[in-house]
This record gives sequence, C-alpha cells and structure tokens, in this order.
Amino acid sequence: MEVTSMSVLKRREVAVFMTALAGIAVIADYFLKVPILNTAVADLLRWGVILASFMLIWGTISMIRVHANVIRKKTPNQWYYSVWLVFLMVVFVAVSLIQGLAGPSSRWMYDSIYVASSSTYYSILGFYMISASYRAIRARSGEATLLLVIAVIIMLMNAPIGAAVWEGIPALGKWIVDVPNTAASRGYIIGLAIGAVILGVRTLAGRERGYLG
Amino acid sequence: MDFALLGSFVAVVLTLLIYSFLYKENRFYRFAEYSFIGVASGYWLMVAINNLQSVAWGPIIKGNYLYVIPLILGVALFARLSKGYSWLARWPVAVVVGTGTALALRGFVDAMFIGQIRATIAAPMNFDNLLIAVITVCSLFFFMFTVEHKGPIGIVAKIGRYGLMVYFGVLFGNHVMTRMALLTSRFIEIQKFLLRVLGLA
Amino acid sequence: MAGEDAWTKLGRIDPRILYALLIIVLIIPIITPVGLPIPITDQTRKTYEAVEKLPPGSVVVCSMDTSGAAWGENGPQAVVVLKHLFQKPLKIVVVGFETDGPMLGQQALLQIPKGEKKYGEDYVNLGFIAGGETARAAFGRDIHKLVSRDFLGNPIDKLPIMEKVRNAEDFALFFTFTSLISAVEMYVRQLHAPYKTKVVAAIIGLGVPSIVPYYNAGQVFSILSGSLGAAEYELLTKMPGEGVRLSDALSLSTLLVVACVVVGNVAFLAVKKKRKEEKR
Repeated sequence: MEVTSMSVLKRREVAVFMTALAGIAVIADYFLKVPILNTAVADLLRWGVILASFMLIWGTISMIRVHANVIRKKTPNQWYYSVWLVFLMVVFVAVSLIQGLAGPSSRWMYDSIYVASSSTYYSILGFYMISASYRAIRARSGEATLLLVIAVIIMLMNAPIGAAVWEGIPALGKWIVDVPNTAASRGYIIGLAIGAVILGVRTLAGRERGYLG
Repeated sequence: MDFALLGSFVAVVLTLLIYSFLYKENRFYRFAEYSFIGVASGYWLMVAINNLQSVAWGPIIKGNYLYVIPLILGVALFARLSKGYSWLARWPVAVVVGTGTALALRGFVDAMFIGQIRATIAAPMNFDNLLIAVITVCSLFFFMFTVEHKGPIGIVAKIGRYGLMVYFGVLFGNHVMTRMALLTSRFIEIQKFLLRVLGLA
Repeated sequence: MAGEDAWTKLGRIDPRILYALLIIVLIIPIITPVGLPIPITDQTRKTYEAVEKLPPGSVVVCSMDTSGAAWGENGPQAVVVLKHLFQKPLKIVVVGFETDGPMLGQQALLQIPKGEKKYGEDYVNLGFIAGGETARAAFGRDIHKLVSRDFLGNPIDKLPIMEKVRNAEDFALFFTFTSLISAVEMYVRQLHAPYKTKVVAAIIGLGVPSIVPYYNAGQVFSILSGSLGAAEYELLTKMPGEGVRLSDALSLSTLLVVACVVVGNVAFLAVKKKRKEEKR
C-alpha cells in the first residue's frame, strides 16, 4: 500500500498528537516560567476562544441543515414550523447586521421572544414539581424518608415564612447546609476531581478518542 | 406604536402558549417552541461572529498574522460537509480538547482535589468539622465500586449514602425555590402587561 | 374506581387541581403583597459589606454567566448589585462567558440609574467571549490581548476604563451571575487558585448546595442565593425591587409544596397500613 503524505495527515493519530501537544504545553506552562512557552500558551488559549466561536457557528449551521432538509422534503405537519424558524432566524440576523446586536430591534426580539420563552420553559418544571411532590415523593425507605425530611426543612428555611412556622428552622437548615450537605458534596467533588483527572490524562495520552468522532 | 407594549404582548402570548403544554402538546406550543429556536439560533450566530471580530480580527488588523492560523483551523471545521476532506475537521477539535483538558486538569488537582482536602483537614477541631471529615470520607467510600460494600466497608458506605441523601434533600429543597421563583417572575411579567394595558402602570 | 377508599383517592388527586392551586397561591401575593419578613443571611451581608468597603476606583467585574431561562433569579441579583456598584466610586466591567451574557448584561445596565457614571470611563460591557474555561483562563491572564472590541463595537484601547484593567490581578471583586455550578468551579480553578481573586457566586438557588463547600473552603468569597439573595441585598441597600416582590409568592408556594409532600405521604402511609392489615 502506497503511503502518501496526505494519507498520513488523514490518520486519527495526527489529531491525537495535536491534542497531546496542546495539552502538554498548557500543563508545562503551569510549572515552568519560560517566556517563549508562556507566550505560546497564552496565544493557544486565545486560539481556543476563536475556535469555540467557530464551533458555535457550526452548531447553528448544522441546525439550519436539518430544517432545510425538512423544508425540502415538505415533511407533513413539520415543514411550515421549520419555515417559520428559518424566517425568524434570518430576520434576527438581518436586524443585527443593520443595527448591531445591541440595537433596539435585536434587543426587542431577544427580550420578547427568546428570554420570555426560555424562562417559561425553565419555569414550567415548577408545575411538574408540585405534582411530583404530591404523587411521587414517598417515604418508601429510611433513606427516602431522610431525603424527604431534609427537603422539607430546607424548603421551610428558604421560605421567609419558615421562621414563623418554627423559630429553629433557619438555624437547623443552616447547620444542615453547612455540615452534612458540605461533607457529602465535598466527597462528591473530590470523587469528581479524581475521575476528571483520570479522564483528562487518558485523553491527553490518546486512550480516549471519542471526541474525534 | 408602543413597541415596548407590543414586546410585552408577544412575551405574554408565548408564555401562555408554552404553558398550554401542561394540558397536552399542541400546535400552539410547537409554534412557540419554533419561534424560540429561530431567534435563539440567529442570536447564537451573531454573538459568535461578534466574538470572532473582537478576538481574531482585532489582532490581525494590528499586524499579528499568527491569528490567521486559528481562523484557518476554524474554517477547517466545516470540512465535515465534504466526504473526502472531513478528516480536516478533527484538527480544530483536537486543539480545543487538548487545551481545555489540560487547563481543567491543572485546576482540578489544585482547586478541587487538594483545596477541598485541605479545607477538610485543616479546619479547626470541633464537632461540626469532625462530622464533616467523617461524612466526606464515608461519601468517598460510597463511590468506591471496585470493593464490595460489605462488613466495615459496608457500614462506612452506608453512612456515606445517608450523607448523600442529605445532599439530595438539600438540592431538592433549593430546586423547589428556584422553580417557584422562576414561575413567579413569569406571572409578574403577565401582571405588568395587564396593568399597562389597563393603564394602571 | 369502585371500592377505593378516601385515602387512596387522596393519594391519586388529579395533577390539574394541584396546578390550579399553585396558580392561585402565586397570583394572590403578586396582586396583594403580604410583606413577610426576610431574614438576612451572613453571606449576603458579607457581600454587601465587601462592596461598601471597596476603595474608590476599585475594579469590579460582573460576569453574566447566566441564560434567559434563569434570568428570573439572576436578573434581580444583577440589577440590585449593579445599582449598588453604580452608587459607589467604582469601575465596573460587565462581561459574559455564556452566549446570553452580553445581552442580559446590557438589559440590566439599561434598567439602572447611571448617575454621573459615563460609559467607557466608569463602566464597560465587553460582550461575549466564547470558549468556556479556556476563555476564562485567557481573560484572567490578559484582557487586552484577548478582546479588542467591546459589546458596542468600540476598540477597548480607546476606552479610559480599560487602562486600569489588564488582568485578574486588577479585580477587587468578581461577581458571577450564573445558573451553572460549573461556571463557579471554573472561576475557582482559573481565577481564585492562580490570582486569589475574590469570587462572589450570585447563583440560582438550585446551585447553592454544591457551591457551599467552596465557600466553606475559602475558595468562593461569598454566595448570593437565588431570588432570596436578591431580596436580602435589596433590603440591605434599601432598594426594594423584584427580589422582594418574589419573596411573598416564594413563601406561599413553598408552603404549598410542603403541604403536598406531607398530605401525599400521609395518604401513602395510610394506604400502606391498610393493605398490611388486610393481608393479616
């Protein structure tokens, strides 16, 4: 099999090598005060910011491709929603290009459509939460009962009216948050850190290649 | 035309259309959903372009032509669209992953691993801090799945499990607060709109 | 169903009845505020006093790491903190490391009285910087080499405020208004660990339990907890706003949730006991 320079460049090992090189440079920068290395890593960080912007653009393009496909195929009960989506996107981009992102029209669209919708989506879980509180959260075991009791104390602590229910609630709630909650989440954080370090080392060593697709 | 009032009206209508999902999924909900995604994608695109202008274009105009390299790498990302050259798209991902992973590694060891252990060990000796140390260690044992949780290890892991139940209970209690606050803020927006329409605000 | 007793029926109540109850409980205090007392936590007081004690000319960074979804909680926090900062002789830098950051930051800036402060001299919005942890690390390292224009398109080397602000060592205080626990952790790793920056986590209520260990370890300077933190800060600064408005409804809706948990479990335990007795 003839090996050309192009076929070498296509290999996944080249990308893995780039990952390792970038990673080693950034880690070395942490320990070594070598001007040329520190400057190179500072530039590398800024390159990362630039590439992240391209990834955001790529994400948007991917989404447009999906909807363009739906419109082209005229998928029943779907395609006119996609037309509306693409239309709004184009309008927002046009308005932002003319007036700037901070301009009144883009801010209008952003506030009245985007912020209103996204905060409504996030808030709708409140309704499901009340339903779950009544129908799903059950003291089926010792652990579940503990979770339930703690949740009730914390809810009463968070509600300003909690102190009116029992004057000891704020102090008890604070102790629960500062002591057992801190301890358990600290254990979780340390465990997470160990896992993240292992995964990071494996990624830089080329053992984890899932990110290459 | 009062665009502020029109904006409030649009916001309220979208809010109510999205809440209609509580009854069941319907075309009005989908209309609201697609409106949101349309504006969101336009916004993300513009914000990314603005960021590029600030971070990449600025240095190039000042004569730092090294910044052409990340621009080329960024364009290489779109090589995914081509079957023959899709391998090029791996390179920018490799640089981002390598940089980000190493940055996180540096920070995880110092701030999250050593920092938290130091805070546990170096705390003043009193009942609360001793309890924190015990439950922290027990929680860590709970996550050790390579050893069977039997005997003394089983007891330690069980204490850790109860500690985690306290954590989840606190999480749930705070979660309720967040969702109720967000719900309330939507209702306040609806109230503000109604007051404006009725001329009371 | 035939043969179901009261406890079983009580345990299977239609969720739409609960939704309606919740709506009523939220609407009543919005229309007629009750004015329930709001206790001030130590963390909020610490944040307030830190701002009060800042020397004139100190640089405070407000990073909008939130989203439109969480603006219901982060918004009141951002508005009251910015109002407080604008009353002081401080330099304020608004930035965003999440996509929604710059627009929400701009929205917050438009809501507050500026007094004698001038854009470009006393405050600036640097806009969005993509890249997550990489962006935050680069920002702490050298802002001028990272960002060349602000959110409005002005070159930052032409803005007088930016003469004083070069990197994280110039930050007297760093506020992050965020819905993400990971954002606070990134600041702990990339700003506090190398530069000892004082990070104030103005986070939504959901994130507070996970941030408390960092606060107790001294890695996070202080925490503003969701809309309640905003309400407390509004009372301390004597500028009641959306946070205080939210607190009454929060109290009553939380009581409703507690009542649902209690009643639901009483019904569950009663049915469980009855089934045990029937088996005997």
